[in-house]
Order: sequence, then structure tokens, then C-alpha cells
Amino acid sequence: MPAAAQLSLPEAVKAAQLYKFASFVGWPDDAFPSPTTPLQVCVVGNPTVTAAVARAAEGQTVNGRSFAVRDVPASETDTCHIAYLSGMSGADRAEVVTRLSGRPVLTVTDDAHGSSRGVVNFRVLDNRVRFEIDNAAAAHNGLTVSSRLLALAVPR
Amino acid sequence: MKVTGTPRVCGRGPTYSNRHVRARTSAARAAIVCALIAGTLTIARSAVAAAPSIEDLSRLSIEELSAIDLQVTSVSRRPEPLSKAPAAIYVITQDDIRRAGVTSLTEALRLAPNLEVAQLNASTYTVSARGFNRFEAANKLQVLIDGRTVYNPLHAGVFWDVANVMVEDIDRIEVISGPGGALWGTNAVNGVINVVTKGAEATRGGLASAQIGNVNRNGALRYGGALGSNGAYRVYGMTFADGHTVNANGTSLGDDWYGSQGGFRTDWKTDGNAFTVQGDVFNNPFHTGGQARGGNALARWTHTLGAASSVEVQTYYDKTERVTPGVVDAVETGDLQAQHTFATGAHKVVWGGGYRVQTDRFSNTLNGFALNKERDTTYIGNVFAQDTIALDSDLALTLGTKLEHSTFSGTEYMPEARLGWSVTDDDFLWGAVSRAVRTPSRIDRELQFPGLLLPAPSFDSEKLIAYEIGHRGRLSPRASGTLALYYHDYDDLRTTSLANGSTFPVQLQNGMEGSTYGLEAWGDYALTSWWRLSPGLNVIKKHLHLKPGQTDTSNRQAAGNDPEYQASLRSSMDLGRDVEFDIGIRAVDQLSNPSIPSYYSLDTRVGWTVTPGVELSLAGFNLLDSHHPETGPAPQAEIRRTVYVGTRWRF
Repeated sequence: MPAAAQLSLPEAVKAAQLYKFASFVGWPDDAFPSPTTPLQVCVVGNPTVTAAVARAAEGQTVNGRSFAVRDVPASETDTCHIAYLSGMSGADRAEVVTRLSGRPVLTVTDDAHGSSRGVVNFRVLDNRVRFEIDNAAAAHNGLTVSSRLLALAVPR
Repeated sequence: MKVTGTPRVCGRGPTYSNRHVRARTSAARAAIVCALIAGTLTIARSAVAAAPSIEDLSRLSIEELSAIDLQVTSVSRRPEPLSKAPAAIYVITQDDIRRAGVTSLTEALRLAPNLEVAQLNASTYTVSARGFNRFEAANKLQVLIDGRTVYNPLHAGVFWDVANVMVEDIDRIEVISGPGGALWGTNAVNGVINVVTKGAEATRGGLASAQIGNVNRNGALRYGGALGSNGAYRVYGMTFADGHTVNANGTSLGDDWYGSQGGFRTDWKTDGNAFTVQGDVFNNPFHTGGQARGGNALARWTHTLGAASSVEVQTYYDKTERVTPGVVDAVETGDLQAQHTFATGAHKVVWGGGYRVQTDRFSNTLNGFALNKERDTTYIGNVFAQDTIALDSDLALTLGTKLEHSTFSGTEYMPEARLGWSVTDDDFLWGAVSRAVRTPSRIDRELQFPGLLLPAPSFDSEKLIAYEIGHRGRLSPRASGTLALYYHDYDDLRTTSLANGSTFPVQLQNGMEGSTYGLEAWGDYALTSWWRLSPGLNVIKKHLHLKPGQTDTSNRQAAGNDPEYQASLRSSMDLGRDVEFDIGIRAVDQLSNPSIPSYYSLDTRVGWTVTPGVELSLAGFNLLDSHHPETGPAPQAEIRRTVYVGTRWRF
């Protein structure tokens, strides 16, 4: 399993957290064409993490939907429900986050700052993988975030 | 042996207990145990090796994922199929503690399948591993809180009523069953419990916590903030009122007790250096007059020398005293420890040493029990070394030993050899042989009562040679399991022997020996993404007997009073996005010396995160009986059914 062997522990923890966010976030009804449409999890610029998320989410469901995990280029993140902007420069990231603002996409970034942060931003604090949540941005994107996830988030 | 107002060796004393805190080994040990989890000491410092598989991580909850310590490189939560620790270790996480709804350290310890936890009365618990669980006999477990020992050297054992921690501050509790003498020193015979609290960085902001129930009431307040640009601090205060136990008819025994505690912790970093300073004070008054009170302060410095090498120095001071009308019982400790970790070739080495000064005082005007001197000071020095040698990419041999010298009880050596083999990606096998000792306390050697009990100046250490093997593995994509088997060979266990062979007076002697063997097993099964089951099983057989020609008027009290089996099953469910629902069932076999019937216990908690800052919970314990006994001489105090409502508010 070469993909897993190259995965570092922080990356693995983020990959596991990524698909679990889906259980704590609500998307507007029109984000899914049908009740059985899988939840689209897209990863930009990090095929190792994509493979890991795919393995972690295999066989899992949230609200009866399965997961569809894939690599996408930055330009194709519009149709994703969760978009992990992993291997991108700060400027490119900010551009994507701004473009997706107002659309039902949970943008996730990695140790980003200022306006290049997504709705969720991973940060390593005290040797642990934590995340910040921009609840206002989530609401602007039409997403509802559960209290339990907000309670777990660290202050921005 | 623990002494109440009247020592239990010769009769019944008051129902409160004398407990003390002695300070021992360094918090660096916590790092070593964490390193044991990773299998090799320096890998513990680097985040780039032997990551757990994504399947293992995907079985954890999002809270658990947020709690994984990247430095330890192990999943600090079962299942741990890729954990390379060559020992029987169970980690109770903060998530376990929260979901079980427990409000004290001893209740949290019930979650470890490899521990025996029995409540004696409202304030007193007895905890052991692999046998010997009984108030007078539970002297073979080494317990540390953030590197400070809470094993009382005057009485030989842990007094849990003065070992309190704010449960919301606990990051994890590492429970090792089996000897740990090479790293943890004397008295780490049957196990080591290492309570690790969160760093101050992880407890920023305010937290108010309260639980109110029919038996217990607790409240705690904590506030944390930044200290400069690279540090953090927290301060806390807590108070509790634990309700009484009852007799077999349900009548109150009037042993309600209460207490309060406060403290602080600060952590800060500069280039290559990390510092921690922390301290606590507490006061637990007794209904019958007097109180148990104490305080401690600890400082630790870790300096990184290179990629796989560091130095750690720790010092602490601890004073605990128990004052009741007629009896004063106090222990005061100063401790200094240092260790160096480094790697060279296939070797990963940690070595170090420490020095401790401990003064104890026992004054008794109630009755004739006394020690040679009321006050005495002991000096203890130790050196240790441990080397983990990679024999192969999948095979590691760990050799270690500690040498300890006490001005009271002499020199002891505690060697160990452990082998760990990663058979496949999904299976880990380990084996170990080790030697451990329980050193004599001042009470063992000096307690006397004219005409009844002679002092025993040549009372020797109790000794153990332990042989263990274990397996840890992923049984299926959704299930993992851990199994440990052990055979313990004991010598020189304590007896209360007739000094002249047939008549009083008695004297404490090392008149018992024998063996125990058993099995510890636990597992984890993810039925669905939101429902997990965790079974546990603990079986022990004891064959402890008197040496030829020996007598024991205590009827082998030092052998403990242990159930032949304990079984448990926990179910953890996430209902919707904001609700947690946990149920646990425990089955404990009967005890025989003295006789106590077997019991089942059903515990449950529902937790609801109402808003990001507010959690409400409803919890119940011992729900199947209105009351039941767990340990102690007849007539036993019985533990009541408990229900509480609670809240945690973050601000």
C-alpha cells in the first residue's frame, strides 16, 4: 500500500477528519440533485491524501449518502461539497476561496492565513491537528455547522 | 500496609483512611512510556515514522482525532493495532472520560480493563492490577500525576482521596499492567498508572463545570490564557461533596466527605527549550474532626539537543498530611531527576538518575501503635538506563535496568528484557521478562504495639519475576484486539506471623510466596460509523501460599481480595450531530477473603452539545442495584445507585 506508506501522521489525521466533517455540516437541499447523490469530496494538489481519504471513507455513509472522493484541479471545485485546497499557493488558495464564496462548498485549507483561509482551516497546535471554523463564511455558503463541531474548533 | 487510627493488621479502625502522597519519579517517564507506545524512544520525537493506518484513524471520533499527540506517533486511544509498545498498556483518553461521565480520577480508572478498582467507602478506593487488591494489600501499583508520585512511602500504597485531578484537565491516563521497575523504580510491581494533564496551551479560555446528583456534587472552574507570545497558563479551582455509603439495610453510614483543591499550570517554549511549572493545594476536611491537606509544586525543563536527542530535568516538592484527633500522619518530599535520550546506529537509549529526600512523621496518641521514631528522613538515589536495539526492521529488543538505593531499605536492582515483533502490518507480538520489588515502608519495619506487635527491622522487599507475552492486532477492517498473558512468580510477600511460632506477639515477616497467572484482553469494534463496541476481559488465578513453617494471623491478607474474572462491554454512539450516548456494563466475580458477592454494574451517560459553548449531560452509575458492596471487611459499606445532571460551559 504505497500511498499509505508515504502518508505522514499529520496528513493521515487530516484525511480522517476531512470526511468526518460531513457528519457535522448541513448542505442546502439543492446542493444534491437526488437523495442518493454521493457527497463529493475533492482534494486539490495532493493525490496521496486523496487516496487516503478514499480509503477512510470507503463504505461510510452520511445521511444515507455515500462518499465520492477524487482529485480535481482548482478550476473544478465548484461541484464539490467538500473541497480540500491542499497543495496550493496562498494566492491561488485565496482566489479559489473567494470564487467559491456563496456556493454550497465546504472549503478546507491547511495552515492558511487571512483571506486565503477556507470555511475550515487546519492548524497544528500543541502537537495536535486542530481546525478553525469561520461560521459566518459557512452561513454565507449556505452551510450549517453543528454545535459539536464548533465546540471542537479553536478560536480564529 | 496502610494504617488507619488503629492499624488494620490488628483490628478495625475508624472508617476514614490515612493517606499520603509521596513524590517519586520524573515526568520524563511519561515521555518514555509514550515512547514505549511508539516502540522506540527517538521515534517518539519525530513525526515521520510508523504512522497508524488510515483505517485505524477513520474508526476514531472527530474529538479523538483532534486529541492525537503527533509527537507520540501512536493512536492514543484503542484500537492501537500498529502500536509497538512491548507491554500491556491501555490508554484512557479524555474522550473516554467525558463520554463515561465520570467525575473523579478513581472512577475514570474503572474504564481500564486491566485494573481492579473497588470502592471501600465514600472516600476510599482500592486499586490494583493483576491481583493484590485490598485496602491493606494494594501496595504494588506505582501511580504518577504529571510525573509526581502519589504512592505513599510511609504506608506503602496509594491513598486515592488525596490524589485528585480536575477530570476536564486530564489528557490521558496510561495504564500499564505488569512490572515497570526498570523505568519507574521500586513499587512499580504489578502496574504503573501515569496520569497526564493537558498542556496549558490546550486549556485556554474559561470552563465552568458542575454535576449535581443524588450522591455526589461537583463543581470546577478553570481559566487559561496566553503567557507572552510563546506560552500559556491556566488556573483552576474545584470542590466536591461525595455522599455517604450505606449498610446492607440501606441505612446511611454517615461517611459523607468533601474537599476542595486549586492549582495552576504554565508552559512555555523558546528555541529548543520547553518549560513547565505547575502546582496544586488541597484541603479535605473530615466529619470526625481534622482534615487531609497538602500541596505540591513541580518544574520541568526539556532541551532538544538534536533530531533524536534531548535532555530533561525535573524537580518537585510535595507535602501531604492527615491530621485527626490523636493522629498526625505526614509525608514531605523533595525530588530531582534528569534524563538524556539519544540514538546511535541501531540503538535508541535513554538513561538518567534522580535523588529524593523524604521526611515522614507518624504520631499516635490514640492507642499503643507507634513507630521507632515519630519523624524520620530517608534519602533515595537511583540511576537507570534503557536501550532499544533494532535487531531487524521488524524486531526490536529492549534492555533496561534501574538501580535504586535507599538509606532506609538498601539497594534494589530492577532489570527487564522486552522483545517486540511486527509479524505483519496488522499483528504485533511482544514478550517480556522483568524483575520488580516492593520496598519495605517504615510502618512495615517499625510499627509496634507492646505485647501485641513486635517491630520487624529485617522485613525485606517483596519480589516479583514476571513473564509476559502479548499480541495486538487488527482482526478485521472494523475490529482490533489486544491480548496479554502473564505468569508472575512472587517471593517474600508479607505475613503477620506469630513471632515465636505459636503464641503472640506477632511480627510482620516475609512468609508468603507463590505465583499468579492470568489474561487481559480488550478490543474495539466499529459496527457503524456512529456506533462502537468495546469489550474487555480480565482473568486471574492465584496460587499464593505460606512458606514451610510460616504462620499468618491475618489469613493471607497481603494476598489481596480479587475476583477471578472481570468482564466489561462499552457501547458508544453518536446520535445525530450533537448527542453522545454511552452505556457500559461491568461484571465482577465474587471475592472470597472476605466474602463479597459478584455484581453487575450498568453505567450510562447522554451528552448534548446545545450550543458550541454549552454541554448538558445526564448520567447514571450502578443502575442495576440500589446498593452493593465491592470490598472491605464485614460489614461492608455499600455503594449506592447514582444519578446526576451536569453541565459544562465554555466562555
